[in-house]
Amino acid sequence: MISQKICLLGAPAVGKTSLARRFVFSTFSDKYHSTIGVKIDKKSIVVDDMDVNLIIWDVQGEDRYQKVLGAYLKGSAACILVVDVMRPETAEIAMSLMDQIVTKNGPIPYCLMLNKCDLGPSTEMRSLLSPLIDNAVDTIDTSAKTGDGVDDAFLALACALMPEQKTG
Amino acid sequence: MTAERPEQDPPAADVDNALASLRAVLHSPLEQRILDLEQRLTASESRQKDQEFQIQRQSENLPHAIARAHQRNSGLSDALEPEIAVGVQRVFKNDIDAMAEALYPVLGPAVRRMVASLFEVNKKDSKNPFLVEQLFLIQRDSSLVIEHRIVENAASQDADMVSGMLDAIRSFVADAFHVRDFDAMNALTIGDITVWIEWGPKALLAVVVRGIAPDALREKYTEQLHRIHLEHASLLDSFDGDSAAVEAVGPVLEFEVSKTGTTPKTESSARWLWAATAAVFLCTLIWVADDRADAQRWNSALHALDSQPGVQIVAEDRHANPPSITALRDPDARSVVDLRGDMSIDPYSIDLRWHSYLSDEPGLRTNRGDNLVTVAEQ
Repeated sequence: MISQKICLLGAPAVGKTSLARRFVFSTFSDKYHSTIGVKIDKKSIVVDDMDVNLIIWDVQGEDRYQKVLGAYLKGSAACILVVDVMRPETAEIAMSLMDQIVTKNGPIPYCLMLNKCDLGPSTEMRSLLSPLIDNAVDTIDTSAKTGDGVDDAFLALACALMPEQKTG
Repeated sequence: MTAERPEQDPPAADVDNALASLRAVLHSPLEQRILDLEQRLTASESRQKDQEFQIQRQSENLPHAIARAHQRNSGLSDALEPEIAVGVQRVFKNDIDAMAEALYPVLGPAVRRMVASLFEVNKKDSKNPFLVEQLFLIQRDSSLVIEHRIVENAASQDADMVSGMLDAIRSFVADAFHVRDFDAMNALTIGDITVWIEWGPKALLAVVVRGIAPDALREKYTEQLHRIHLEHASLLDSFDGDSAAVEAVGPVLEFEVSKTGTTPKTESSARWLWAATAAVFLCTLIWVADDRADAQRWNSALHALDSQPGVQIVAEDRHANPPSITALRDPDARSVVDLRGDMSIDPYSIDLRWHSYLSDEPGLRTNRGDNLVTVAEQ
């Protein structure tokens, strides 16, 4: 069994917690978000016949937690960047977060979640995020409301973390 | 009036000779100079090659020479000490983290023992019931759980999530109180649950205790973390979340979670150590007392013997095997059998040697004179 730490990052109200809740059965209360700015969930999946534990750090996007962000990112094997397709300004925040990740943690695999795709197309967002899309493991339209694309995004990232993928 | 004769050109051979002479004059010092330089260059190259050869030979011989110097106690270590001290100081100055990490498994226990010897250990009542419910060995950077132990039927969240939240709380507290390089959240106490957190350079050990456990127990877990860093350094370095790597080296945690009211084995060992020390002390006390009584008996016997008229002790050794006494005895002194019988110690356990002499004591001198008169009269 392999365990990996994954950070879920994005601007406030892009739907990170809802996406995590879609993917995992949360045992910790969401109140940790408002206290220490992070909530940790876990999801066990099977990739290539191997059990993989994804330890998901759902990091609050509020500015006041930005100072702790570096500490929360420490030791992450990968991350998921979430944007709201209806709010173009969240793309800029995602790119800023990516810069912080590279600065504080070095380059790590990441997946882009274009969330709230049930509300509109992601075309404009894809155009804004093109610098990030080029290097992403995958870029997937998701909807925490309908569940579309959520499992696919986590699975794509988990596949990228398998030993043969990392060495290759 | 004389007509001027036109000048004639000198012969070509003369010109050549003249030019050769001039060239020789001009070039000779230069050529000599070049020759000198070439010789110097050759000599320098030769010296350099020789130097490299010497260095090569010295590097091969150096370990043997140092070993030989050590055997001969030639003072090499004294001579090197200042240089080594400067080098160590430089490393400490330039890369303190690397030195601290290298010394951690060695110095950690020593420092703790020293501190424990300076301050009396907080002796909480070890009879109080307590339960070590869980042990977490956590990789420091990623907060991934390397190994987890839990007592049967104990309620707990998932170990990976608990480990992550501990790290998150630590980071949050560090940020909230503006603590730099914070790594010392050593304990959390909520109700009757205490979480001890011991920090190492690469891993931390979280011990979940219900009730009041003795501080000595915590010391054992601290020492265990030191040993883990010492014995499983490569695992802690390379751990990437794959549990197979941990299974390959076998159980890393030595101590099991304990049951209510139990005390660790090491406390039992400490009691045995105290008992053995007390026994040794008691035996020593008995031996000293017995030896003192024996010495008194011996001195008393010597005094009794030495005070007999015509007897003079010249040597004695109580610690010989058997004890020995060498004495001079006047023929007119009391008989050997009587003298042996008067001794306060067993005379047959002693190597008692007699030598004859004539005593100058008045009583014996008178007896001796009387005996001579009697013999003469007869």
